[in-house]
Amino acid sequence: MNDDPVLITGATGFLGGFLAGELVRRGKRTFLAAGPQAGAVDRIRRLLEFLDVTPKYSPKVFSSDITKPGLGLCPEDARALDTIREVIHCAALTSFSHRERARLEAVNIDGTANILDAVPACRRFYHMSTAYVAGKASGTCMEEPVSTRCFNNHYEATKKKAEDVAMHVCQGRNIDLTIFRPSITCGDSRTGRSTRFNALYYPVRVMLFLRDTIRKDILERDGSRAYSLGASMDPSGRVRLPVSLPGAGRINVIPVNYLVQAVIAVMESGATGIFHLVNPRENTVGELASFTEDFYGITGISISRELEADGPLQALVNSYMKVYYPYFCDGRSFDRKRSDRVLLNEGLVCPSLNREVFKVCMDFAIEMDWGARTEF
Amino acid sequence: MDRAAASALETARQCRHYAMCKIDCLGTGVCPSGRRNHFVSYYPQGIMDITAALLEERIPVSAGLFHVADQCTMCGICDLQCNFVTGLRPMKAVEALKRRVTELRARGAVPVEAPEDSFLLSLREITGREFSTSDPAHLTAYSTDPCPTSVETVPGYVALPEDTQQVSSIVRLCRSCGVEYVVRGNGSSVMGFVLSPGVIIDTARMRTLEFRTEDRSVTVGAGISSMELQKEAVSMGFRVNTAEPSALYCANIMCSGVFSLFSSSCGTGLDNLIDAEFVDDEGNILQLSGRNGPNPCAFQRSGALPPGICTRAVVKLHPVCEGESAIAVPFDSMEPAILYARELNAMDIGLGIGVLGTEYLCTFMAPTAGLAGTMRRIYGDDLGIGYMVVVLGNRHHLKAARALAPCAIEQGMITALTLGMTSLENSGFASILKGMGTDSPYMNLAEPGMQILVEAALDPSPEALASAVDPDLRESYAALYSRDEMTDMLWLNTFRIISSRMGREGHVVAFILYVPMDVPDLVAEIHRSFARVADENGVRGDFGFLTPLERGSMGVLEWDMYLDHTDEDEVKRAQEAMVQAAGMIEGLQGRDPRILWIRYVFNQGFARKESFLHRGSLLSHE
Repeated sequence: MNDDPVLITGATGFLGGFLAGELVRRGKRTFLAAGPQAGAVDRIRRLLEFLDVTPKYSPKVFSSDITKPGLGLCPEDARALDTIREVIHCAALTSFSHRERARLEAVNIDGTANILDAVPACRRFYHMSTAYVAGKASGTCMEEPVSTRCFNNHYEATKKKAEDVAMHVCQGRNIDLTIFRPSITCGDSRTGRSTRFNALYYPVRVMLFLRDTIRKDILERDGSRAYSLGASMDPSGRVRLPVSLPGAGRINVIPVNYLVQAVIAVMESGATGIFHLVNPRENTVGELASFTEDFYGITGISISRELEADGPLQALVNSYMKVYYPYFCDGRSFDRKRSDRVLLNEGLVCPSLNREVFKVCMDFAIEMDWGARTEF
Repeated sequence: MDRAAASALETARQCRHYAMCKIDCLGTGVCPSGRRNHFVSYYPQGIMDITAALLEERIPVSAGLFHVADQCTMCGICDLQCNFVTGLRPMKAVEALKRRVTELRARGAVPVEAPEDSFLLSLREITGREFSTSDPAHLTAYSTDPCPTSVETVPGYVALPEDTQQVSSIVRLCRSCGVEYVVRGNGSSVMGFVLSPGVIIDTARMRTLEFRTEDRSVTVGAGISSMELQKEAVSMGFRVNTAEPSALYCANIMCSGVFSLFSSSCGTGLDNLIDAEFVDDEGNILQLSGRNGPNPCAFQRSGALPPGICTRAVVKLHPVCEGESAIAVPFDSMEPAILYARELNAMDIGLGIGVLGTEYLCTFMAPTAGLAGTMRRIYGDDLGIGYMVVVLGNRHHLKAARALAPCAIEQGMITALTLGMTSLENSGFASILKGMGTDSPYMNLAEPGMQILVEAALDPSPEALASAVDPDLRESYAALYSRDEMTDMLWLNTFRIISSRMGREGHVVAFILYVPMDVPDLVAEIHRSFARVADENGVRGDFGFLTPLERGSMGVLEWDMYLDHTDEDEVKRAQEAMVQAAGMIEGLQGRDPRILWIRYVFNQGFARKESFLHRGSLLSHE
């Protein structure tokens, strides 16, 4: 890895945070752009502590608002960026809420343009996108620019437009561009460590909430509410939840440690282009439901082809599933030829989301109170 | 001053003058001393003022002071009442007063009798000796209110007439002696309108309440509160369109008219008034229905003097039907909430309709300021509720309202959420809904059967809710909340005992406007304009409510600013904000003449609403 300092945006976010931590650990000189909230230095310090990273070089930390031209930086910080030649752009808003349309556009699209404007000497731009810029496309999604205009939500649409912005600007300024498209990312496959617990985690969190609610009603009260919800508890304490998950497709999940290694491997290879960072071994919803049942004392989760609508427990599950349905019922596959050429060459194989990895990730999430203790 | 006295003084100075201690707002009784002696000085509200004045050595040791202290039985009724509304514990002030009077006696202090001048003698001839006074202790209880623009004014006398004839005689006496007078209701208007250096006429003894159910009317004396009126009406199967429960009904009429959520079906102003009796400023007795009575059609935009003191009013009774209830329809933003409320009113659906802000709603429902804050965060940030349209109606109304709503939260869920409020945060339920990533997490609350899951998660109970209040009050709160009515949206809107909670975190300055509802953007702009004024002056404030009138063409909107009326800096900022808000409202009225600040209806609350809501169409306007 070269000695040029690298600017990492979204350094207090999930992917940006893990990448920043690893690069700092390896002694890379880094400029870390945190979000506009107060206390950027302290937040980065706590993040590095959380990641067990002792910096060899203290990173230069500043807070920035990427929705603003010039990133809202003070003149001194802005000048510091004049010499930056390498950028890993991870800052993004991941929200599927319709109400967040304007912010999604401001952060994901305008933010990408603003970042590029703020680094006039940039020679290499690494853009963190998502495998789901493919939108509603079916079949095999290639490691190529996306042409679809049909998306499952505005997040996907803005990430696609952000890729367009990055490609357009980089081409015009002769900047080497690498686009990473990860699928759903979970915690570290060895430790479970993560700072965000949505996507894959949330259905499990809902199941555990329902389990605890039902168990409490039965053990501490007369259980009448639990029984009228169709739930029950067997003598061993396992709670039966009569809920159904849509299971027509597959889920593609990669652990964050793999993502970090893959990004660094691609950076070190000097390769440019679009890279799918996806898991060759996908999971079915049925597998994940069975892991949840086995590890967390739950029974009764069934798999159906579509969202079912019956009762308040199901309604709660559906409320989430309606948002994430496209990702839990994904019938697509993701081409990995370009990625494999670099990553397999480096001996990097994506760990499967097997029982052990699932458990270590979920146990960590529970320990972190589903993110309440990992706010940076 | 010792610590106990300092604490008592702090409590005493915080009295909001909402007069909830002068009515049986919780079904736990009323201050026996106040009921027996009638002057506000005997009620906890007056005792708070007297205690503050005594501890600050602003009043002499008088016979009235000793009598007020001696008459208090220390029954403690007021402690629960006041805590329920404002979070204060007036017994601290009561105990401090008793303690100080005991000390004064021990030191041999001799109370001074107030001088009995000829004017006082004349007043006493009219009212009876014990019902007119110039004792400084009594006078101090009539000398202030917490409005930031009020100036403390100690009256010369306070008189409590028993009937219209006595009011007439007092007015004639004042006129002949050149003495000012004002009439006051139960509290102190909290807008500075009932302070005078002359005579305060307190109508507390004018307690006529005569029902003519066959004619669906009730005659209400000037000393009858809305709570008393409504209780009697409901016990006979009727309802009256009333405002704040502690407000005297006749005073409400004379101020700016009565409006509530029920105004969406039964109107305001003259709509609910069959007749009224006034004593004019020459002491003449007039009837609204009389040949020489005031003309309710002659609304004056430029302002009007009151036709006189309203001594009685004959009011419409509205029948209560079986199966009436309520639903709450949540929205994330104001415009769709307004459109929904307007649509219901345009189709004549609902007995009562109100768009409530989350601030208002949470403040009302939560028994403590701390819980209200938690609720605001959970309802607003986690569940995404920006506004709630409350719809009151019979089963046909509610069926139609549900059909038109994006989703509807039923009464049972409201009860579960209220009694389970203390667990809302720790149960994880709210954060589960928040984390869904959906646009409107609150929609889950409207799912069929979800109430059972909420109950399983929150384990709601009166005892659980009571765990949020002071330990010594928990048993009383649990008993209160074991009554179904305490979480019943229909009952709570009929009696409005929780709306005074809006003053719990500081005195409220309410800006009330009639606004056109066919332009939701305009209402939203009015809201933003108020918010900007409050923000620029560092004053806390928020949208209160909006009730549609006139089949959705108009509405009555309240926007509130809050302040600690004992903090000089806050008072100054509030005064500046009030000036700026006034300018802003005048500007809005210039842009759209259908907007009308309620200050222009002041003294004309008996007017026909069409005369002020449609004043642009009056022939005299041509």
